[in-house]
Amino acid sequence: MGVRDYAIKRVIQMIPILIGISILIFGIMYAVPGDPITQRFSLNPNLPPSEVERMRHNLGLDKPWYIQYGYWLNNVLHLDFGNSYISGEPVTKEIKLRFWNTMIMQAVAYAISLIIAIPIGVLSAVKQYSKLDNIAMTGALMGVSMPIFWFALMAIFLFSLHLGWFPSQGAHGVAFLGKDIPRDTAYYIDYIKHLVLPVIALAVTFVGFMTRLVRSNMLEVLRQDYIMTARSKGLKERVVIYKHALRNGLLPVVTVVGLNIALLIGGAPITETVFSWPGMGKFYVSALGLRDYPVCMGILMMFAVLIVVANFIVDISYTVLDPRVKY
Amino acid sequence: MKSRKFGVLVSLLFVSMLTLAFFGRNVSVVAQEPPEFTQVPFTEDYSTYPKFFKITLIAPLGNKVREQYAAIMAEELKKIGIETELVMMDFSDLIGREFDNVEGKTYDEGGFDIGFFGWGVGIDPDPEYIFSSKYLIPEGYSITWWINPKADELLVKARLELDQAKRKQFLDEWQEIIYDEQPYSVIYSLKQVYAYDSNLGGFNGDHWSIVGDARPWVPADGDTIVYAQNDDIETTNVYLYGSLYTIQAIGQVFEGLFTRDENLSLVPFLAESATPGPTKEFEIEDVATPLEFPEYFDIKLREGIKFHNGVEMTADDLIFSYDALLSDDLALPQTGQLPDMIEKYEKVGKYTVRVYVKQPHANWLGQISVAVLPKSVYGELPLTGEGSAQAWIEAPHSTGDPTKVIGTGPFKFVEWVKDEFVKLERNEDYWGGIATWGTTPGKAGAKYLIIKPITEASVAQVALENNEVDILDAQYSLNEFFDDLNAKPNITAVTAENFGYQHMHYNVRNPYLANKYVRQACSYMIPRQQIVDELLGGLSVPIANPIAVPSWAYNDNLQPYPYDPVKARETMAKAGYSYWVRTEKAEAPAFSIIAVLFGLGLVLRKKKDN
Repeated sequence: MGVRDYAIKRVIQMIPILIGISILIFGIMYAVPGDPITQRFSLNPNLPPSEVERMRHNLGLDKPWYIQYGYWLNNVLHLDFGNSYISGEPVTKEIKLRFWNTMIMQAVAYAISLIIAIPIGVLSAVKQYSKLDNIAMTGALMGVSMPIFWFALMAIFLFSLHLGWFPSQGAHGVAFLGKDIPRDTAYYIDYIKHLVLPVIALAVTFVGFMTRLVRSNMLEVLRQDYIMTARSKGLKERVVIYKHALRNGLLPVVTVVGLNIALLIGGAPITETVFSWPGMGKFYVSALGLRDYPVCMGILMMFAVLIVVANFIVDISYTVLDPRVKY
Repeated sequence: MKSRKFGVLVSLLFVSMLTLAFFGRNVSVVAQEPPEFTQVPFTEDYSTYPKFFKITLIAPLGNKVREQYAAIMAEELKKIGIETELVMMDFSDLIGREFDNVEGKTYDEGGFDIGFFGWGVGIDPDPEYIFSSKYLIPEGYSITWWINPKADELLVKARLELDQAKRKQFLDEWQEIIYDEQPYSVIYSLKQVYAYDSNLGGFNGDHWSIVGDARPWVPADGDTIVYAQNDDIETTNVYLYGSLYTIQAIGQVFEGLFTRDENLSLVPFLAESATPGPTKEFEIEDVATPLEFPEYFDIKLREGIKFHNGVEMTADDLIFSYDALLSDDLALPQTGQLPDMIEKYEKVGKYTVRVYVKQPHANWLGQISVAVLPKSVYGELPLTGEGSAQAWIEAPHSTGDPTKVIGTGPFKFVEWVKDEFVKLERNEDYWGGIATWGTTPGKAGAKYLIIKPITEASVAQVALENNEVDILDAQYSLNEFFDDLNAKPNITAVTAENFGYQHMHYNVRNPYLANKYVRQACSYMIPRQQIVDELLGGLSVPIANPIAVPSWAYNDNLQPYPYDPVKARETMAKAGYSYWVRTEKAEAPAFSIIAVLFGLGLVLRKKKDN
C-alpha cells in the first residue's frame, strides 16, 4: 500500500470519527446541568418561571437533545454553524474575531520557544552532565513546574507595575481601540507591546517542556549503534551530531509540535484570562460557562477537526522524515 | 440498597414524628436518660457530643468569601451535634438542585439540605416569588418549601397596600415571622467598593450602583473615561440583557420612564407625569374584599426628547416598547412581571399613553417603568411569529450596529469589539436629565466612555495604578483592599449601598430541618460579625431580615441572631436533642493499648524469628 492509498483511507476514516465526536460532545454538553437560560436568568426573582419557559421554548431547548442534535447536524452539513444564543452573532464570525489574536500570540510564543529550546536541548544532550546541562535542566524544570497563572501575575507586577515597560492587560491601548484607528506603525507597536507579557508567560512553559523533550530524544539517539558507526567511520563530531543524530532526534519533536499546533489554536484560557487577551481560550471557557451551545459546539468541533487533521499530517510527514516508516 | 433502607428508616421516623406531633404530644428524640449516659454541662469540647443527624451543605464555587463562610458554617454546626458535609459545586449544579427541586428532595435524594448564595431584592421589596408558598418550585422561586399561611397573607396585603406606612407594617410583621421561623438565615449585606482615579470628578458610588448613570463623571485627564469590569457585555439590546455588566454599559444609551432619587423614591424621568384615572374595584385572588385602585394611569412623556437618530420620542414609541415587551412570542428577558400588571394600553395624545391596570400593585408604576425604544429603528423587527425571538437576538440592533443601537441616553453607542471594549460617545443633543442626586441637568462630562472587560481583580488594580483605566467596578470585590487602595496617592476607594444579601437557607422538607428550633440553632451558630470583620474587611453589615438594609421596608427592630453556641444548644434541646455524653471507663483505652502492644510484640518477634 502506497502513501497515497494510506492517505485516502485515513481521510475516509475521519468522517465517522468526527461524527462520533460531535455526538459525544453534544450529548455530554446537554447532560451537564444548566442551560443558556438558567445560567443567565435563574437568580432573577422578577422573572416569572412561565416567562423562562417561553424563552427556553424560543431557543428550542425544550426539545430532547437528539432532536436538537439533528437540527444542528443538518445545519452544519449546510455549512451553517448557527448563531450564538447570547450575542446573536454567527459562530463563525465570533471565532474569526478571536482567531488571529490567539494565533499570533501562540505562534510567536511557540516559535520563540523552539528557537531557544532546540539548540539548548541539543547542547545539553551532547554535553550531558556539564555545567550548561545542569543549568539548562534546572531552568527547564522551573519553567515546566511554575504555574502559569502565578508566573503571569509576577510578570505583570514586575514589568508592568514596577518597571512600567509594558501594559498590564488587553490587546490595544485606549488610544488604539476601534475600527477607525489607522493601522499604522504606532498601532502595531502598541499591539506588540501588549503581546510581550502574554508571550513571555506562555513561552516559559513551552521552552521548559521542549528543552527536556529535545534533550532526552537526543540522548536516546546518541546511544544508537549507527552513531557509533558514524563515529568509527571517522566522521567529524559536527557531522555526526547535526547530520545523523539531530535528524533522528527531532522526529518525536515533530509529532509533539504537530499535535500541539491544533491545541495551540484552542488558545491558552489561563494566560488569556489573566491578561484579558481577546482570544479563543477565554472565549470558549466563557461560552461553556454560559452553556452557549452553538458556540461551544462550533469551537469544540473545530478543535476536533484540527486535531484529527494534525494527526493525519504528522503521520504522513513521517514518511518524508523517516525512510524506515512504510505504509 | 443501604441508602434505601436508610431512607425507609428516616421516612418511618418522620411519619412517626408527624403522627406524634399531630396528637399533640411532646416529642423528643432522646426521650429518657439512658443509665450509662451522664449529662455534662455544655463544654467547648464538642467532639464528645452525640451526632444527632447528618446534613449536607452546598455552596457554589466562585465567590471566595462565600466559599470561606460556607466552610466556617460546616465547622460551626458540628459544635451543636450536627454532622455536616460541605459540598462545593458549580453554580449551575446548585441551581439544578435547588430550583428544579420539584418535590423538595433532600441532598441524598438529589435535592439539597442547606444551601448558600446571595441575591438582590430591590428597593421596593416584592418578596412573594421567593417566599410565598404560592410560589413553590416550579411555580416560583420558593426553594425552601417553607409554608406559612399567615406570612403568605401578609405578603399579599403588602403587595396591595398603596400607603407606604401601612405597607411597612405588614412587611415588618412578615419579617418577624421569618425571623422566628428562619427558613432563611440571612448573614450579611455587602457594601460594594468602587475604586477610581482620584482626579476623576463626579463619581458617587450610591448613585452609580442604584441609578447606573455615568453622566456626572468628569474625566481625570483628556476626554475619555475607561471603566473596567469583570466581564464583557452580552448584547446591545436593552430588552435582552441578563447581566449587570451589560446594563452598566448600555444603560448609558437607553433610559427608562422613571428613576430613583436620592431618597430612593420613584420619580418621573422620560415620563413627565403619571396621572391616575378614576378608581375601580378590583377582585383579587385570595382576598375577600375587592380593592379600590385607579383603573388606568395616563403616562405623559416629556416633549422634545430626541432619540440619537434625531427623531422625537412620542407616545408611538412607548406603545411600540410595550408591544415588544408584552409579546408572548418574543419572551424578552426584561418583560418581568409586566403581563401581570398591564391590562391594555392606548394612545390618548401625541405624548400620552393610557395604561390600564390588570392587577393592583403597591409599586405598580415601578413595575411598568420600561426603557423606551424608538419605533423608527426597532419597528423593523418582527413582534410575533415563529422565529421572531431569534430574529431579535440576531438583529444588528443587538449585535452592536451603531446605526441601530439607538436610545435617548446621555451617551451614543459607537462600537463594541467583543472581549475588548465598548465605546460610547457623548450625546451632544441630550435632553438634560433631571436634577437629583446632587447632579444638575446637562450633557455628560466625558466625551468618550469606554467599558473594558478585565477578568482578574489583581490585574485590574495594576491597570488602575498604571492609569490604563479610570474606574474599577464593584464586582471585583475590592473590600479587602479598601485601605490599601485609599493609601495610594492617586486612587480613591468608596463604598456604595447594595440591595442584595447573602444567606444560608434550609430545605424545610428535610425531616430534621423541618423543626424551626433546629433552624434557629443553626442561625445562632453563624458568626456574622466575625465573617464581616475577618472576611470582608468590616465593610459590610450583619443583618437579620431578607430585605435590603437601605430599603424603607427593613425592620430595624429585629437584631441579627448573635453568635451564641450555648443558646444554640439550648435551642436544639427545645427541638428534642439533648446533649448526653457517654461516661468514659478508664479500663477500655488502657486495655486496647495493652492489646496493641501485645500485637506489636508478636509481629516483632515473628520478624526476629525470620
